[in-house]
Amino acid sequence: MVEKPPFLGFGLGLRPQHYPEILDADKELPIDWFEIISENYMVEGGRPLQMLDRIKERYPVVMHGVSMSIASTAPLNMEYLARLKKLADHANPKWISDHLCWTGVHGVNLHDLLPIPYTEEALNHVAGRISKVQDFLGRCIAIENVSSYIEFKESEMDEWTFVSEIAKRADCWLLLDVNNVFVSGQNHQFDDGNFIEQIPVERVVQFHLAGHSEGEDVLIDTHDQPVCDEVFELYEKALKRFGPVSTMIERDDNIPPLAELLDELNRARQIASGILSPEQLKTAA
Amino acid sequence: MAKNLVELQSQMQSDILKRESGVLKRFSVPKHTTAEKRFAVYQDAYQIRLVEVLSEDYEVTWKYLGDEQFYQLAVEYIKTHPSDQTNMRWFGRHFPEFLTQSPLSSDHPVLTEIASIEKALDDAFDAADGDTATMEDLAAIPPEVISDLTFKLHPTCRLLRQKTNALDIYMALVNEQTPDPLESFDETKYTLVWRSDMMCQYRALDAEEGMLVDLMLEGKDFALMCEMAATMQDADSAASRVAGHITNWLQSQMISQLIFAK
Repeated sequence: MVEKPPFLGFGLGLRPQHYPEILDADKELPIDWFEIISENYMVEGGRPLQMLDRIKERYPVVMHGVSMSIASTAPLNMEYLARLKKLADHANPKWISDHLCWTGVHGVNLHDLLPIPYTEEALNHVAGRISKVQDFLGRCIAIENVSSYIEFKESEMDEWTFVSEIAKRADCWLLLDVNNVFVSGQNHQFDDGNFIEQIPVERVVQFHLAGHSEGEDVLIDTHDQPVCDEVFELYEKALKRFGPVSTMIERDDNIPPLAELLDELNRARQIASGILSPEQLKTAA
Repeated sequence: MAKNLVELQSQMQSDILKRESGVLKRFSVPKHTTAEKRFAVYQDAYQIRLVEVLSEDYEVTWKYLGDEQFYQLAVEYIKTHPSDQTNMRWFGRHFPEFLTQSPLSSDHPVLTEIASIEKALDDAFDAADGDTATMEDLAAIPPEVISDLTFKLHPTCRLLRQKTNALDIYMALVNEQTPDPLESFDETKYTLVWRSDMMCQYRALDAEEGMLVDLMLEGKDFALMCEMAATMQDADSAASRVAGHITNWLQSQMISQLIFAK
């Protein structure tokens, strides 16, 4: 197994609304690193890449994609992967991640993180594709568990077993989205604490903390709300199990002022400082 | 090949796109809800997300049309143009062209032209970076080759050739003002869109400048540009007018390269 990347500390998803506050700040902001949405920077030029260049001069960066469609039965999109690799060469991220999902088949992109049944067939299919992607990119990638609203009758195992087995077979890292564990736990009535307990410690390189919305009889992973108390409680359990793991607040919609996200990030920091030793909390920087 | 997964994903995608329910029997959900309700989260999200993208990318077209008509057109576009892009940023790239075929466009011929301005601005935003030629570069050109001088436009430049007062309507709507009534013209109205210092810019060009930019795009040289300018306005001052335009273009970072035989 490839050695885990170092603990980066506490970060934020980089959003264009916050560029000026981040880059023009008089004093150092309490942000240890940024996660960029890969697709937003897979462009020819202009402001996105200019901003990325300025951010990466000052902060460690990781890349997080939404369109790898690693669980799709459509052929791997090699043109997409080539552009992803080009961006990685440019951005020099600490790691690259995407979701354990499919986004479309037959040339269509539904722009959603769609679930798959947890079967041996799917395990072989997805693990094989992750290996191919890692070979192409020449690096280990991290795969994120998604929120889901349905399960499949044909599933042969639990989600946590499937996720753990994928990581083992593909020899990849995991990005554990704590909100997604909570949302899926509520939606499918499983014990989210047990999910956390079943994931292999040595594979998890990053935590996502995010907010969700309530629909009719369902929680929806909208990333447009603050992180709720229950997700912070689950984060605490995750820290106890996994130790120091690079943690970030992921907000994609209804974007608040940076200060509000820093408050949320500070809450994560405080929770971590109550569980981890100062030595454990030292970042690679 | 994961045969079962292939078949499942095809059916699930089809049911999301067509809002059908054949795949429901394969889902398992808790007793307090139904597979139909849960699957609707995915079905709803597809349309909501793409309507939102179109309304962000074509915000002024939306303002011009109003909520109801824009929504109808957006839904129709989504049906006829399923996304094939890994980034939603390009999902709406066919929207201006789609509007030319919409029955609504015969009532509002300006629609396509407003949407084209918005698309050109979006395209200029993250178009490839390029060199920018300067006045110093121009000054360094030997006088004896100036008539053969040609120009490479900056890669962010887009020249729109329109037949209505779309730009005036666009500007009024951006500035929260009531737009003038629609006007159609026989002659071409030129609008140039480009990026300078990372900011998207646009401006109307008069007929002469529009023609000169067209000639630049065709790779025609300074001498021909002056010749053509002489046919548009006063012939004696044609060369100085063209020189004035070139100065303005250089200062606006619209020119990437001045090309001449060394």
